[in-house]
Amino acid sequence: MPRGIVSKLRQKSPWVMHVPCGGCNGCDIEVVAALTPLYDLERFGALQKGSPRHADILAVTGPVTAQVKERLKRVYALVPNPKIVMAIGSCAISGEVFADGYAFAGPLDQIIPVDIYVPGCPPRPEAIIHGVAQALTRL
Amino acid sequence: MVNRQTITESIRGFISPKTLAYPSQPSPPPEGFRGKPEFDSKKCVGCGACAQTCPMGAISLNDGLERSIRIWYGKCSFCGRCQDVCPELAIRLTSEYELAVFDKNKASTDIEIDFESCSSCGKKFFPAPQLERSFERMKPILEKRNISNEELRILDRVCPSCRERPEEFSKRKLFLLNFG
Amino acid sequence: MIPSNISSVAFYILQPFFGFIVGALFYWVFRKVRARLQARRGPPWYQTFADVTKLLFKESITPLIADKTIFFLAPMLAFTGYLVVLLQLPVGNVYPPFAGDLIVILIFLTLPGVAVILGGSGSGSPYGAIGSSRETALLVASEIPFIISALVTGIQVKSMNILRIVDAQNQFGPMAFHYPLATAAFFMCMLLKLGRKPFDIPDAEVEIIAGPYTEYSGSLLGIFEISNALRWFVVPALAVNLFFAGGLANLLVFLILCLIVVVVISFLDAQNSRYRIDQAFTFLLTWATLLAVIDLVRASTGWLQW
Repeated sequence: MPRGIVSKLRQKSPWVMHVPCGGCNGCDIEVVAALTPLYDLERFGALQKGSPRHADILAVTGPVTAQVKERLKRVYALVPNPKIVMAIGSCAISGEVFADGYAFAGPLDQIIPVDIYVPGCPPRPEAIIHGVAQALTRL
Repeated sequence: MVNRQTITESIRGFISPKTLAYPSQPSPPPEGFRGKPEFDSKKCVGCGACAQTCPMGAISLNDGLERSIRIWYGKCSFCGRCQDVCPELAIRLTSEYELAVFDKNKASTDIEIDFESCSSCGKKFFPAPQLERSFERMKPILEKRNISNEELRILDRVCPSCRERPEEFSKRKLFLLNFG
Repeated sequence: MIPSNISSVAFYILQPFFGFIVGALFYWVFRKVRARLQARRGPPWYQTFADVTKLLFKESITPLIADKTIFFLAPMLAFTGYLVVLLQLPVGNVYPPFAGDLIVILIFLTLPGVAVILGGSGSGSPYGAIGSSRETALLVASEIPFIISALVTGIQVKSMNILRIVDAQNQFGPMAFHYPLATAAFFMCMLLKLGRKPFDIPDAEVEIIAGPYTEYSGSLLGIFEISNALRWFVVPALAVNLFFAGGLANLLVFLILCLIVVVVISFLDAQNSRYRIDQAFTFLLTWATLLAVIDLVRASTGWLQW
């Protein structure tokens, strides 16, 4: 099949896996709220999948703690190519309030390569949908 | 659990779905939403109070030929302390929330403030708009005591190290004695 | 023997594509109706095609601890089971050149369940093992009412040839009218064959990541998705052929009846929550089997006919 059609169809069916690292769970609630009927992500073909092997998009929320760091690297390695990593919330981008803490293992892009950053504390579900729509152009 | 209520709600949902048509139509946030903080360049005096009070350190000051104040949204928690502390209400939390970027350094806003040069040694020592603004605030107090604004302006455009020199020091002591 | 009215080559080439496309559209109808019942809009019509294409062109990773042969063969087995049944089903007024026995069809419909069990345990992960054990329990429990309610139609017509069963209903009237209990039991087992609530236990995301499908990715998962699209055509088509007079030898009526079956399944899926494994086991072995056995007795002895 021609490459153009394949990548176009790939953008129509992004399967999301949500990886919460240790944080306040505010961004986790907003990610889950994006799947509710008010903001329906299934209109765009996005499904929330449980296994990293089924996912195209890894939505990582929260600051990466020392306990989660190795496991996050393993989950990243389990996702097949082509993939997109989204850093959702200001904690994933820079650690925000937790930056000087003893359990903070670094901003997300020092651990796995990140494609798109969505600042916010927490970002609205519409902001997350806007981030997904922009990231899909890179798939 | 299947009962009459779930069935009627399902049928009602079938007829009119409640989904917002978000990316095709804008979805304005409610009143008082803590969105992206932005500078008003006409009002900012470059005092740096926002940078001092930000609990995350998201606002940083860079002093060179001019003072450059930068908000980095990667560290901002949208708490609004900068808005509370600004004397001129020059930084406000707007209702914009679509901040997704591919390069995290691009999620930032800058503003540049000129420095005032010292009239005797020429060194840049203070943000110019802040000096202007403080003269404006002093105007009613000076008029009550019949002192002209011009005198204060000449005295104050001198950097702290030059103010230590004997001739400047005596000029200031005279002014303060007149001020009473 | 009822002669076929289409050339064999045309049938064997067109029927798989027809089955896949119509099955993908029925799966979309299911997702749309379920979304609407949850007060939200659903996916667009090309969603299944986009999912399948995306998966087929994605990197496929085989885990090191998996048994390579079984890991590779499991999706093929599922696909084969549905394909063989597809090639023997009459579709409205198109009769296949070789219409097999009802018993052969029922045996081949067991293969995808076995494929899921093999895939789950062959993938080497503990989630796969738990998913396989759940699928085994459900397969054992659901085959009994499924086979008994399907055999009721064969016993009534005194032949196991599916074409004769369809043909006899043109005079006798639809089987659903004469044997409603068997139809109800068949519907309950259809929910399990299609993997829908309240019986979607092997694919229970919240509990066991993805069950037997956990370690599958890329093209192998794409083949599982293709067989999923096929089963959304094969299973309702079998129900319409056995119980609803095969659409009275009219292709349009056949497809409309299949669509009604799909919409009823979507309603049942959207309204119910997931059963626990022991609840599903007891439900199938008591209520569904009871209904099917009552109609079996009625069909074989001739009592209480209407």
